[in-house]
Amino acid sequence: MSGISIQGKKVSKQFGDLKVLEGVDFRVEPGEFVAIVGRSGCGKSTLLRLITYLETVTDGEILVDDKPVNAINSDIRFVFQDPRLLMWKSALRNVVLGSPGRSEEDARKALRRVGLEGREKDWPGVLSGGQRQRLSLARALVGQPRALLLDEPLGALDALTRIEMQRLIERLWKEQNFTAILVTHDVSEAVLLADHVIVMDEHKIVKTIKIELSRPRVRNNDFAYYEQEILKYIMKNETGKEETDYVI
Amino acid sequence: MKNKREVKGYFQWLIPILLILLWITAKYKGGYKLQLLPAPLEVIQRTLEMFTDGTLTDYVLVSARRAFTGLFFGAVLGYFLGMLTGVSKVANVFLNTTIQMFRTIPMLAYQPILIIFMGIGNTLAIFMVSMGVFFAMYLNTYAGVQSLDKGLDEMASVYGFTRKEYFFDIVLPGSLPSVLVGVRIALGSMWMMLIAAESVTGDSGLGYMASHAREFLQMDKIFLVLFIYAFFGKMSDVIARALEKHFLRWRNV
Repeated sequence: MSGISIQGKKVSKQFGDLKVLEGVDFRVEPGEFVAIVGRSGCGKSTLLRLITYLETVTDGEILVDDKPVNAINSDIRFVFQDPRLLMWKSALRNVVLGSPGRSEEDARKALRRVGLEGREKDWPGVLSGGQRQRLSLARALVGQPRALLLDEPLGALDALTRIEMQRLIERLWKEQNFTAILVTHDVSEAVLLADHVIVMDEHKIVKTIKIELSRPRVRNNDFAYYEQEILKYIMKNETGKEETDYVI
Repeated sequence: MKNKREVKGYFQWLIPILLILLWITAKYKGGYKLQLLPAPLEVIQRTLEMFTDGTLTDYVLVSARRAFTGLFFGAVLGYFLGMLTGVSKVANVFLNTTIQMFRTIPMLAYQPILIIFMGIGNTLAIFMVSMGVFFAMYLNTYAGVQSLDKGLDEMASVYGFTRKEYFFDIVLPGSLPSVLVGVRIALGSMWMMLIAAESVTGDSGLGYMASHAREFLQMDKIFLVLFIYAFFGKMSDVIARALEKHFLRWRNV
């Protein structure tokens, strides 16, 4: 099954008096890999939660497959920063509960795809942090969703495990052709994985950058150029302040 | 490794043995009040005597029946209501404040009013045990459900859990650690409430045996009751531990 398109039109979200998103427009094409980067509190996670319908928009609308979102959709799966596993269920059961038909066969296949074959009977408690996140990835992908939303899923992992997981995510995305939206504050992770990088600052999208590097990507000069380019937009405010300081 | 465990096994009996030695010393070398203590041999004699004439078995059985009947009713009701107020907002509004209010009254303070309504027979003992067990189970079941990771609720809605799955795969097993703490506390308050009830009840049970013995200054009998309670207390602990070991396998890794 192929990816799904996801679009936002003038999306605004407010929690009480607190504005989190202000008139955000974006479009993610079917099968595309998009990364959203920005500082904490810029509203990037909220955007993902709106797409999943874990939150509802205050204004504007979100379209999935050109239809407005009005319920949680089993074609869209969400991977949380903490794996949110059921610690009292075996690895296999955790994945079974992710599959729409509660299929054990599919769950076994999904575990194999993320490299957890042989760990079916283990409690999540015996798995390492990286393995737990793999497990949650298997749970998300077991039903062959058409979109995968990742909310800083690698934030809590050590550097080497992160690299391993980034490769795994890229491989799974290529194999299964889903649309992927990755929220991260790691600019280099965004450049490594995404076709487009959406830069957010102060509740708005400030720039969308197309990454024209062939895959698998290596951290060369071109790579560094994109990192700089993205950082420029995130750090814009700070440099602006510094400049005025010099003028005075 | 095995040796180390064996040595540890011996050491845990060291202080109990010292206590028995202290007991004997106090009895024969202490002041006149301490001489009231029974000799260990007297306790053993009394045990055999009461065992052969059947009274000991009678008392133990009567007490055990009261304890377990009370445990059953208290635990079932406490667990059920704890789950209900934990899961349902409506039940929470109507019941939780009320139950929490009754809990703040020390349980033994209810005894006078209960005696007036129930007399001093079996019913009182069973009711009081149920009460003690109920509050322990209720509070810990409720706390167990309330303290469930809210992130799992979101996970469950994203992954389309049915209500049945949400209850049986998340709420029930997720609250179990706290529920088992409740079981442990409940077993403790079960014996406590039983003693309190039986020390005023008519003519049977271990509590009656102890308070009756006090009136006749039968120290050996009082000691015997203490040993029986210690034994039952230890047994309760062993059972609670075994339950935890079995049901919380996923946590002991």
